[in-house]
Amino acid sequence: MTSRNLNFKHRVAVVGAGLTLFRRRLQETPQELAWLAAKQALEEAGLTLKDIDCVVIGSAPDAFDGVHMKGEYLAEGAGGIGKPVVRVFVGGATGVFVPIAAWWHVASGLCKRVLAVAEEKMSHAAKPHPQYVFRYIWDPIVEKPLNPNLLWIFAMEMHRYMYKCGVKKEDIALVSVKNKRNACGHPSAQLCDPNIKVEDVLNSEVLVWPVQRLDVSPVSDGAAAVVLASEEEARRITDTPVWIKGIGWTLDTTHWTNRDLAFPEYVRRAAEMAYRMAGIDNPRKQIDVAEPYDPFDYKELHHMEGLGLARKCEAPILTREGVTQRDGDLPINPSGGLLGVGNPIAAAGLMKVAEIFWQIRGEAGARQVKKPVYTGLAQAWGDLMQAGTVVVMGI
Amino acid sequence: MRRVKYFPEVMEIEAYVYTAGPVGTKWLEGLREGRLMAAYCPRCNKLFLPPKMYCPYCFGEVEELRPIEPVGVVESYTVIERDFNGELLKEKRVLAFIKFPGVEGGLVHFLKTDKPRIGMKVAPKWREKRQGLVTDIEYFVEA
Amino acid sequence: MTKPRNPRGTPYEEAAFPVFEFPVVGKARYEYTTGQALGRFLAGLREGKILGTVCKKCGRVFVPPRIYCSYCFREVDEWVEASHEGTVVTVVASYIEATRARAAEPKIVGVIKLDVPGFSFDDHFFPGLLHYICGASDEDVKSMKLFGARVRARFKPPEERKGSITDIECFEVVRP
Repeated sequence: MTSRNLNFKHRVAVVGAGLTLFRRRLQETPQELAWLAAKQALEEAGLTLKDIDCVVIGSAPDAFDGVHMKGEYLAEGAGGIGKPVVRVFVGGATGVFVPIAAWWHVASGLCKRVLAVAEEKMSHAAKPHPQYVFRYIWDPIVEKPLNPNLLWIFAMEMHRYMYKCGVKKEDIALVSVKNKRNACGHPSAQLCDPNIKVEDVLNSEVLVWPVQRLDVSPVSDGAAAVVLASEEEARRITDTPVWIKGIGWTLDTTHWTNRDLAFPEYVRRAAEMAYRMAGIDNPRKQIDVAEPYDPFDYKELHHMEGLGLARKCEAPILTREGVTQRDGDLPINPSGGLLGVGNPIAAAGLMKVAEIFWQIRGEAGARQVKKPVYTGLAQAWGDLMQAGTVVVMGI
Repeated sequence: MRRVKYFPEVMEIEAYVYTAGPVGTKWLEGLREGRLMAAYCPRCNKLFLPPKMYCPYCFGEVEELRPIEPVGVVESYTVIERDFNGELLKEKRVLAFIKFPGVEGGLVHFLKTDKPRIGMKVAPKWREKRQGLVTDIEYFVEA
Repeated sequence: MTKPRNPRGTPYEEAAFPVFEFPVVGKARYEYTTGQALGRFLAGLREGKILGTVCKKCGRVFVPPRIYCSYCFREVDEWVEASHEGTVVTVVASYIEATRARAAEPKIVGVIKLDVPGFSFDDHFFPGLLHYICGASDEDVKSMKLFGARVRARFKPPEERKGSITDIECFEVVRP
């Protein structure tokens, strides 16, 4: 279908992607991680750094890597010396925002071949724990004095969702089981567990009820990269460019105590923006495979509904019926998601974009979904229950 | 009603642990043994500092470190007179950017001298007890 | 062929080689200005009041208060006093501290939708605060009994208040 409501100069395609390992601690410096991912993406596209004219970098709070001006710091490892470079950041949504920003560069005609890199090294923030960096995120005046842990917010959202939709923990745990098993087909995966069962999730350490340890994605180091090119260039580079059909992004208020947490309105709006551009009016039928953001298991369900892939409160039912498995009618997170592959904040979203890219090209190997894939979607979420970013890709 | 104007807070993280990467770690081990090395890119046939696992010039992979003559030349320097809080230091310190012949880039380090000048030839003064940090060199002195 | 092909990276364990901790020297001390709205809000708390602002154009009541309505993008019209009573919108039991260390006792925290005389709110947008909930156990949380429970703010005695959200000790369950 052709795009509606939008006039732009050049169609944009993804022509290469690269990933490092995702692990709790990696020895490489942040620049070296960016370089490893960027090199792999360039190699897949058959390009060298000289062929790249612009660079987009994404990285979440500088407080993780412990180096300020992190975009500039990463620029060298991301091939950004002596070129137009921009850093974008929307918290966890960054990973899908990076290709969106890269899309602007190409669609406007300003750049022909753009390298987009996302990197995170959470292990640097060692004491007391990388999670403590998230203390930053709270309102300093009305929230921080209560000494909150970030998990509180997720637990509150999860509990509200469970209450409104009548969902039990067993149903939500199915997502963690599916993703951690799916991850065994992913060479970069940090937490592949081929034998994990729902009981394992329900017996894991209770952190902030209802959130338990196996409901949460890990702290990780890692980097990801993609190469975007204009239509003319893409056809020269590869026989199978994957077109970016729609992009969308939306932010909601940081005053999360004033809104209903059971439904992610900002994801719905971002998705609407992307669907309108891609000419999609029935996402459940027209999207063949999706990678919604899953920092927690309930989040996959929450986002499926926000994306319109399931009706409100229907996502747990689809999961229970096996619809979201790799051989199901609507495979969700065939990569293994953040729960299985890992969660280096900014790089995680771009890992999902890379997954959709490889699924559409039929290169996902053991992870390849059963049904034929023409259109796929990657979505990320970020900040204080605020940001939604969506990319629709297809051939 | 008198307003409440300020709210105090401190930074979150107490300590960072940075890693030097596989090539950087070997370089630091070299320093611990009293050896100064530079990274070598076989495609560009260039030596460069600080060391990395990729070549910033050609973007190719770098795995090799080569020992270099520990005699450098002061490319530029500055004299530090005050501390972070603006208080006068008891002793002025000289910070210099030191280039090594045949090596791209260089090192920033302290220089112990009363008369710093650009072009001065300098060599490292190694510490007795070394740990694998850039401060295993205590400072550079005129060679 | 499976992509990504041979992803690289060198994992290491915490004790694998000597690491040097670089303590954050000279911790930056922040002094956040409260701004006009929160300044007045905190002063109100010190006097035992929970204040909010109203945008008459869209009818929204903001707690915590803002001086602008971010939906109509105009200045708010007036200040109101919210009731000390409200309803629990969502609630959790935390077994960990902010530092991720295990807590001695589970902490019950939640979002409380506050009553404001003369106004009614739906689930979509409402005056609400994050705070501790007392008079409840972690079992009450797990059974979901606390959803929709009525709670009332318990303030510290006046001499202990400083103009902070902690001037409210917690919201106490009134009728579980």
